[in-house]
Amino acid sequence: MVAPIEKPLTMIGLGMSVGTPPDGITGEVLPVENSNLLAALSREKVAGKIVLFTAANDDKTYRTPGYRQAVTVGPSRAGALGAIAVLVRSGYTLQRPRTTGLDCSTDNMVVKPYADGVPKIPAAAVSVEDALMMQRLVASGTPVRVLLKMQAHMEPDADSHNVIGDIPGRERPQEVVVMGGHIDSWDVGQGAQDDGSGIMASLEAAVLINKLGLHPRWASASASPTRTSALRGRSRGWLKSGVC
Amino acid sequence: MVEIGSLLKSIDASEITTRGGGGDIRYLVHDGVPAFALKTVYKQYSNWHHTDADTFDKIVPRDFQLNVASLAVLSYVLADMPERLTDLK
Repeated sequence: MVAPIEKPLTMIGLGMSVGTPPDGITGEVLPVENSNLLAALSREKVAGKIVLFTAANDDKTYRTPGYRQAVTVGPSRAGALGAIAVLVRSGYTLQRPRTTGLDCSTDNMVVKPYADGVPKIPAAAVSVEDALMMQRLVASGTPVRVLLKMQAHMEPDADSHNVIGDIPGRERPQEVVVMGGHIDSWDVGQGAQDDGSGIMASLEAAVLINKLGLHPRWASASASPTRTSALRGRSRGWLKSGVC
Repeated sequence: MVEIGSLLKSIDASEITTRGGGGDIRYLVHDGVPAFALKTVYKQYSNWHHTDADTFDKIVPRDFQLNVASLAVLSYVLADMPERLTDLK
């Protein structure tokens, strides 16, 4: 925050957001509850601003409509109205903002961070405390200005590797029961829950079956893909060979 | 499936519901593969999910072991069924 006082804000970029220029971008903060209300505003009110989506979140699911809008269509709608960046209020937090992948696609099989034909603007999560502070200041008539610096960028696809263990089936070794999780925690933290413990549990389950000397009719595989799209390729590969 | 679930009564993991999913199995489900997900108590997951607080010290060993047991039983039984799972709703 650069006005009315200088104060660092905790933030984290949303997945697949574009970054800012190296020196960052500065703008006045425009708090709006959700992107439906934003869409009702005129371009003059939004252009050049940093939109702050303030919808409170459900601590349990992160599926409150306001939050979902903010991380789906929010940045595209804001960009279309000339906003220069988007900030999104996190859920349960004590200065510990929570990220998520930016995706405005309505097709479950396609991920699309921004809508076609709109300016791509940087989008970041801020903590509940910082979001409320900015909201309160603006509500009291004090304009808030924020300098946002983000280095986010996308690099071309690169090779990655999957971890796969097989227990051959005794009757139909070509047919597979697959279990696993994803090994691709792309965000902050250690990814212990998402999905480190999940992949370790599936590997341990395969080890347990092996230790007990069990030989099922069909093969079991513990597969932990490094990317969901990698799983897609692998699953298609399995389907193609008729093993699933 | 209810019968398989009953094998896990002793660790209170017998409930089978029809809802669930997730990014990992989305494409497999889309391609028509019968799919299952382990449903956990999910008490604090969202408090830590996608934040710097998602760290290994929070894994509860006993809960982890129960998850492993549930996965092992379910996957073994599915892999040892005489026929393929078909027409699963």
